Amino acid sequence: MRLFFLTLLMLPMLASAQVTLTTEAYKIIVQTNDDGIVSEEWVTVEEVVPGDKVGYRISYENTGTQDATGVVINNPVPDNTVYVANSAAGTGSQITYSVDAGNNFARSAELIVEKNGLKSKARADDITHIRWTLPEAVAPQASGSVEFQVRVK
Amino acid sequence: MKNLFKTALITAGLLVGNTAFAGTAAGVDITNTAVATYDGGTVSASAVVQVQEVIDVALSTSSPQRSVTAGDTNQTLPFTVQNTGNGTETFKVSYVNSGDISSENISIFVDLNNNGVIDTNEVSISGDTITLDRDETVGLIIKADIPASASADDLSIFALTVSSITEASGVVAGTAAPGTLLAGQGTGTADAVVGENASQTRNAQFRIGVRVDPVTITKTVASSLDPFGGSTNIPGTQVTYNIRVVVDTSSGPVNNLIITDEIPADMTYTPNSLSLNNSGQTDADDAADNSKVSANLVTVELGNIVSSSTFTIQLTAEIK
Repeated sequence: MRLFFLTLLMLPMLASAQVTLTTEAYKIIVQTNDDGIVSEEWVTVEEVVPGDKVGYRISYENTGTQDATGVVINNPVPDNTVYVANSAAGTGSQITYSVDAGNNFARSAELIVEKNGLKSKARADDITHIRWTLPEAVAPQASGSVEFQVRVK
Repeated sequence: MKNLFKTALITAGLLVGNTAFAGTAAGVDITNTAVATYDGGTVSASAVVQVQEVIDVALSTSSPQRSVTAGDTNQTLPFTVQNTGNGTETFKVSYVNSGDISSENISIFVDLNNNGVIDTNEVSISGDTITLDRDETVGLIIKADIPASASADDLSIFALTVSSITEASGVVAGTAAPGTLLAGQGTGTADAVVGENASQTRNAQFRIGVRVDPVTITKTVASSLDPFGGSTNIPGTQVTYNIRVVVDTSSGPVNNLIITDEIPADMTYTPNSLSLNNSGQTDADDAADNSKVSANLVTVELGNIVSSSTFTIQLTAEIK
């Protein structure tokens, strides 16, 4: 009887997807070794200075018991930073960008901005939002992460 | 880890130095928020980093040398200082006077409007420090007297230094290596970091020369054309004059320079013959140019001359 009761309580949870999200900030340290090979190291950071490159890693996990479908991660580029070109990444995701405060999203090659009446291709510093769309469902207990980089103004 | 940190800061400093605007203000929190939506739910997560203070300053001079003469008083050397860091910062101002001759009665004025001139409301520096907000620019002017004993070609050289006095555990920003962390010394944030230039020194000098006249005028006859095509000076001959004006600004700008030429009583100005540097001038007192001819007086206003230049005025008059 007791077992049955517990099972009943858990039923609503068992019957749903539950996505958890974490965001971590890293300072990106670029090093060139003696052979001229450039490497990047991501170091956990709480303080930065203007000009620093900061990387954000956004991790998701489905802690529910059913597939999570229609997963979309939206991230505005933080104030006082500019997006670093081509830095957004995410395995198994489609990445689109906005240059109009999140109203419209498009692939980077299709981004157009209008300045002084002239239309031109958007530059990295025009980007206001990044969106990762996961076409595949996230299975229970499955997890993944997406990332992007900014430069502190 | 410490080395890694320094490398990153140097990179950051270079970037700051290459951009014209000041960096994000010290103490600002940069918050990144990601929002995930999925069928049946929405969830968000944020990460916060805080901007530290970077200590940087830029010192420059547009007049690295000024010509003076022995015994001149109240001579000036102007500099410009800008807080190129991202927090409010106090800098010590000091100088070293070297060269062939020592200047006298030396003081440093704060040139609030940075116009290179000590205005009536501008006073000498209080103590030996200035405090500048992020991105703030002011002028600094060295004022000194030149000893009467100075001789020609002597130099009196000033090395002016502005240097951050922010200090932590005996380490002073102005003398510390770029990337040094000054714990607890940030503006509006915990820590300050020494930038590429927490101290800067620039030189400017007085050069003792012989007194040059700021303005020299010479007037010559360029040509005479008599009514018969010859060059005799008879009634009806058109005489063309060149007036050469040489302005020497090595001792400072020449302001409100006006050249006048009175046509002799036995001559008549030939209408529309006035030119300045081969550019025709109107006779009327109008907005077309800064020249006019009224009765027998020719006036050419050359205005404020800030760099040494030569002007050629040409006009023609007829012998009565």
